Amino acid sequence: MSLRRALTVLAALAFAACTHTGVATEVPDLQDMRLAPAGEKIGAPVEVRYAIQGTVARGTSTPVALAIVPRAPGRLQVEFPATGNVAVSVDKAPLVVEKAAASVAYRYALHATPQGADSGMLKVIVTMEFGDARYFSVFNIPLGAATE
Amino acid sequence: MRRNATPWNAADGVLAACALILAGCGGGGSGGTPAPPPSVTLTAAVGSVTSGAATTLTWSSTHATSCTASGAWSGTRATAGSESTGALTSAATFTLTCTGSGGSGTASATVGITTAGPVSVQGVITYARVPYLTGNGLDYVNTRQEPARGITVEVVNAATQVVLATTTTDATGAWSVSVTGSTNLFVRSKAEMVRAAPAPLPHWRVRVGDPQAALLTYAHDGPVFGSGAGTVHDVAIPSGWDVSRVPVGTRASAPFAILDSLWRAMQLVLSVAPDTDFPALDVDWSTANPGGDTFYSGGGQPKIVLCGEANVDTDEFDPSTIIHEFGHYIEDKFSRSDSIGGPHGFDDLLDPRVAFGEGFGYAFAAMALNDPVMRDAFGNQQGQTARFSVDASNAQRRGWFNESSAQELLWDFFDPAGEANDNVALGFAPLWAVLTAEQRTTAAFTTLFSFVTKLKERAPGMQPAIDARVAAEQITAAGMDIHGTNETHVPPNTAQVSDVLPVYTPIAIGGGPVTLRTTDAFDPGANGNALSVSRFLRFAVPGMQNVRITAAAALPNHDVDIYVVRNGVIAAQGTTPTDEDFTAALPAGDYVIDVHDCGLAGCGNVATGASDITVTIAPN
Repeated sequence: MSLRRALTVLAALAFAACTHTGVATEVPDLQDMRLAPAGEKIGAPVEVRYAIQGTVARGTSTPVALAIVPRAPGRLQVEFPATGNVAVSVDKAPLVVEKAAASVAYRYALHATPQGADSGMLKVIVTMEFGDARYFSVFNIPLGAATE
Repeated sequence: MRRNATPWNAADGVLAACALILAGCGGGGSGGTPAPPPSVTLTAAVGSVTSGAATTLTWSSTHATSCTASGAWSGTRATAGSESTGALTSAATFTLTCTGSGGSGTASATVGITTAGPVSVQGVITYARVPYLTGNGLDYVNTRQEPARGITVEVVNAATQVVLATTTTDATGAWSVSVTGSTNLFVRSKAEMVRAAPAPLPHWRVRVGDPQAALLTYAHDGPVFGSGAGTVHDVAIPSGWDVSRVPVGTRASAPFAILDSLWRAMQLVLSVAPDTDFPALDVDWSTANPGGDTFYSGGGQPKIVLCGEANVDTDEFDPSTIIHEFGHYIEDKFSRSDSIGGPHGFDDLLDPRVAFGEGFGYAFAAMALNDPVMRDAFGNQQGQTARFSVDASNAQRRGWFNESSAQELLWDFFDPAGEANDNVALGFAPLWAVLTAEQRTTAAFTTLFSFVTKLKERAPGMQPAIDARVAAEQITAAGMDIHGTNETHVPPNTAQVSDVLPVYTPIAIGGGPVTLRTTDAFDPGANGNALSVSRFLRFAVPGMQNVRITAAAALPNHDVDIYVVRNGVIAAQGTTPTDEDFTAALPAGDYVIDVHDCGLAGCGNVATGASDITVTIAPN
């Protein structure tokens, strides 16, 4: 194992340990999670997978499990923009991985609360940096029809 | 005191009642005080109007209980009020007679028709552009006004809303029209650029609107001003944002900022093709367009959709993003794009048609802006900037399947020489020539191979330099043809070379089965547009030929689809949910086939991994 690979694995393990702190929901297997669609701009080379772990209802906090899987190594940052349609609570600051590895799943847990009758989209902005270059993608996670 | 505190008409009623009471009582002295005669004033807001315009009449009276209009108007009126004259086409005199217990009074106002000659009204239209910060995000503090170039300007009569004159701003945003003097006007700036017959070529029609709101073209109406004896009237279209990054009004300058980016892109084309006839283009931008959803659609009316979602991603102040999409329009309408589109990320291993199309879009943006650094603001309060250079990227998996390779090659063909591995400096003209001729009609799919092969033919003196630059991208340059026949490079960690090469597998009519392999190995995002999700065949038809084409996947769930293409046009296809078996009558020509594995997740299905696909073309 190369030094770079070893550091990457250590970072991933450390991060994985961190992400589980305070998270009450089960961490689903990657293959059981859905792929979030991205737009057609050139973007961050990542897949975002998600699992909605409860009933979506207006005003109700629903756990959502996320997995961010880079396709290339680089600096990774994840944000949840406020849109007014969905309130998002996170158990820690936005995710930043200084040296994210390719093909490693970076787990993240949050709670999404639809604010309107149309539950709308949970938006996830993923940024990746490669030296001077910086790419981002907006992923839209449909929360489904919210009930009262 | 009461009289002074009471409205005149009500007080007059009280006085009349008192007069009756006094008369009934026989008191009040020697027959009472005679009521004073009414007085009337009537004025027009302006003394003259242009033919078809209107003005406002205002009147008041004292000691009157009723009023009657005559002359150019008629009927009863209140004892005070105002109303429009309606459109006037000739001089008119308006008379008002008001009657009270003391008699009556009359006043008149005459409104003439302006007959003075036209006067010049001119100005400059600017729009607010929010520039980038040196670091991250947009710099709202340093928002600046820039000329709105080539847009439509309407000068409108403020009273009647009639458009009196229409013109177009020049390259400095300046405009000038002749209108009747002494008229109240406003300037309507329309988010469109139009140049059409009978003007000679070039022609174009680009407009920015919001189709979801049934708005074809955004417009900004400026403040009312008087034309007087001729005047200068500038218009500054605001951004609608304040310096703290908070929207404080309509984001009015956004459509004009978008147009101006497109204006710059059009200048690049016009610099080498001054008689260009640009097909009509619509741009769909609104604050409701979701962040990240920016794309070009060439089906039907060409359209660029730009996102406008504040705090997520809004593109009106991102010229490189806008011109990238315009590059897709250019490729679609003046050249040819066989790209299948879809999501794509940095250093992705893409279908070579997608790699070329996306790479061309950003290279074209860099050429139009004469700046290789692409920028795109996003995030909370537009506080972040994505950026990359088409001159040098950190791509690790370069090749004919990487859009970074495509954009860097195209940029280096264009820009001055003198960089490592870059001794090519062709400018835009030969690139445009290949795009609009050989690439438009190539028998292959539109990829780097079809483009570079023909560019080398057009610039024979540059062939060694082009080859050196292409080779630096891990692409076989020597002996390159439009099908990439000599290509030997595959991405790192490719399981089997046959997963990727040859780029096109030859097949012959009646020549027996040919097997090639599709795979999702390069498509972790299940986008369906990655390398080797489609594989290519090529064959020739010497004369009109009826053929039977079969295609079968070796593994279950791998649903093979077949598109037989001649010069970019689908000649036949088989797209059933299972293996394919169909016949076609094919005219003579060179053909390519896209063998697409629609069983994979990128097509919404469940198959994974690689599958051999066997194809036959038999005489029928």
